Amino acid sequence: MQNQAQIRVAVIEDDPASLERITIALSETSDISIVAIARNVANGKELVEAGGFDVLLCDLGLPDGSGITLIRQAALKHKNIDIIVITIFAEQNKVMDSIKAGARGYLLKGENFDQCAESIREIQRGGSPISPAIARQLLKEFQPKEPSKQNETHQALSKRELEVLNLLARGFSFIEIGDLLGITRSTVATYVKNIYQKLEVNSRSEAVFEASSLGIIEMPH
Amino acid sequence: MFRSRAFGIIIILAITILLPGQSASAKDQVIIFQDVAYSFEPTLAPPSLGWRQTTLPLNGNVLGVEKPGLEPRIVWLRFSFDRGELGAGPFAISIDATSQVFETFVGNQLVSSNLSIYGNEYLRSYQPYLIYFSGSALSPNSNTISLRIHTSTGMIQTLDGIRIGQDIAVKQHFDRQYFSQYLGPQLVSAALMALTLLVSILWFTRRREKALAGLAVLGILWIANNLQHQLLSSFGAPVFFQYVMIAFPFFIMFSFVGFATSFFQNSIEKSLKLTAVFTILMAALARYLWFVVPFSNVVVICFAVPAAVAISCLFLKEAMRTERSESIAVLAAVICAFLFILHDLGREIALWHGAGFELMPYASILVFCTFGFAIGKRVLASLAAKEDLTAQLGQRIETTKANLLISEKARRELEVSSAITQERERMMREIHDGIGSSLVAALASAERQGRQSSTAVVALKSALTDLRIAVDSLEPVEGNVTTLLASLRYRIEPELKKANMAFEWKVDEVPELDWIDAPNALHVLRIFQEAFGNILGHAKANRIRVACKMQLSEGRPGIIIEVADNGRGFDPTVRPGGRGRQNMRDRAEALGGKLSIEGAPNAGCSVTLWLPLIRPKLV
Repeated sequence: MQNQAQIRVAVIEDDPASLERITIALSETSDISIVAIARNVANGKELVEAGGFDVLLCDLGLPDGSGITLIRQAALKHKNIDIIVITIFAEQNKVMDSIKAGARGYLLKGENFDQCAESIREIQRGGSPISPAIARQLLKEFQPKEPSKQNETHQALSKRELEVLNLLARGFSFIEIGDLLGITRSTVATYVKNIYQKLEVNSRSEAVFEASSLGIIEMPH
Repeated sequence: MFRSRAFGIIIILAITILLPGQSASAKDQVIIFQDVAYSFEPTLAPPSLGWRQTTLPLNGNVLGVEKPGLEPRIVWLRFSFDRGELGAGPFAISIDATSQVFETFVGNQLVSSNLSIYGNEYLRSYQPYLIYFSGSALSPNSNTISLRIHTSTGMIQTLDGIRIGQDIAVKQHFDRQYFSQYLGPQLVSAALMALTLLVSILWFTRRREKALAGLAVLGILWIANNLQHQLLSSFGAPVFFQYVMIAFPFFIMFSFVGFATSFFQNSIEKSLKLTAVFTILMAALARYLWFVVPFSNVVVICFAVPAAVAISCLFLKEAMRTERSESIAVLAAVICAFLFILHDLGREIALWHGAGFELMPYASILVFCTFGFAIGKRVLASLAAKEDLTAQLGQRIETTKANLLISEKARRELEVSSAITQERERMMREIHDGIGSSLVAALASAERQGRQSSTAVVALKSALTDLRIAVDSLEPVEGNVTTLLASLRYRIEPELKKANMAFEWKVDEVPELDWIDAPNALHVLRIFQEAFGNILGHAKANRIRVACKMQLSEGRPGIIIEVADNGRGFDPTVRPGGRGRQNMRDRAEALGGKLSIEGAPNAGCSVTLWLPLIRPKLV
């Protein structure tokens, strides 16, 4: 029986072993249930279209394409869901692309599937994990750009967010950062989520900006 | 600025022209004649009849020849003085300048003659004369000096400045006169000829510079005019020089207008045209009236002066427009030339004595040199502009070359980095799809069998961590060692958590080490992976401290990384069994850093790695 606090999860994953491990890990919990599963992009699209989930776990390397397109589709269609990428190595460029598409966290295959439930709960509470390398990448991303390339929809980071990002890039944990800045761990996690969101918004508006300056689409005045 | 300069030049000119020509030294022993008697008696010795009185200077028809015909005539001039007015002998007579053929008599005694042996000539070169005679030729009281002048028409060309006195005093005056009146003009003419030749050659080699041609024409004209000072004999009638004298000012004016046309480069075209037309009109009127009113030189001056003023205004306009030094110099030269010509014309028609000699030859060199200077300056300016342009172009080429080099270098670097990226992606794909997936599958399978802590699971997990760290080393960190350490922490954090290890993270912000590339990054990661592994495996510690900060080592700047635990430590005297420490040392050496592993029994262990900020180039 599903109560109000039930977290509905959809999984898009082609590797049977990983899928099995996720299924096992989540079946042990009472508050999380898997509501839909897809194994390729084609089915994944239908899954996203149908909706009815709170968290989407999505692999990137699917047999018929990249999971990035599914992530983008889901992020645009369902504003209130959380998207988590499933990856073996969490390479910088893949994680960055996923965040830009709308993902808010990632699971390492073979590493923390046993903590998979905790990751899902954490993200639902409003926090996002972040690796130092990604934090550094984000710092670079939010560096002030040339004014000509910047459009008015560009969202800059607040001073606090930059501070948090800087400490994250130097390897401090959420708890350590919380101690250093006098805030709670979950506030730090929320900061990260906000930063991710700004990156997504910026990357989307940049795409629109570039497309409009290239004359691909016409901007309404 | 312009006005004060122009005024200065004009005042200097005025002083030069108005300066009196005679010296005052030994004046009391020299008589300068003002009164003269003349006679047309064609006798061989001074006549006793037919004398009429007039005053010097004499010129042209001032003697009032009733019928200035074309047949040769003798004109007698007589100057009277008292012996008492002179000092002791010997004596001399000087004549400032004349071109006449004449014999000189003291009393009735012939003392000198410049008659040619070449027959019946009426003109000599225009020059001063000095005639010596002894005191014995003089009578005690009143005396006369008579000049028997051979003329072709009865007219006397300029005859001025006749003086008598002690020979030394007179010679002093004569010498000065000889230089200014005779030698000077000859030198000037020679110089002018050389310069005109030079300018003509220059024009031949550079036809575009039309001002040069104008200058050459001006030079030739003026040489022709100066010839009257050079010629030993006239070409036929003396009227020739009269013609030259009358026509010359207008020639000069035309050549000035011509020069202005080529030099001003159309800047004041309208004024130029008006001035040219006006000058031609004046010249035509002057010439017409000169014939209608025979030998009336005043008429010429009347027409020449307005034209000269118009031309001067033209040059003034240009000088005020440009305010360039060459324009002002040209204006000064033009005004100077006109004043000199006026001065000479005035002398010619016996209006004034002036400087005592002809200024026109000097005006020629002045005008020529000034015009030459102006043209030269302009040519030099255009040359300088051209050189500037060449230099600018050269510089632009250099800049372009440098930019090209930079972009070429950037392109090559991009090629290299894109090759590295491609290779990296290929390897990642390989790891991802191959060994990575296999490891994950094996781990899942081992775990499914329910043996969470079996050796297989541990080994598989550690293999996966190794692989992840290897992948991390391939990520571009741009020499950021802190990020490397942080990534390592992030990777092993779950294990540390499981072991209930407290973490002390003291990582400062340190400068980036440019020399850290992927292999070096892996060395750093592996050294500390080993250190963490040892702590987890053997140390039995519950606390790890990681610190990173800047530190000098033997005076070299660098960063130091320390990983320390509070475990059971080790005995440094006992050789370790495994290869772990040696591997760490080998990697540290490969990095060009310094590694120290310190520990004591029950006092923990610390691994310290120092890395240089700048790594010396490897040979």
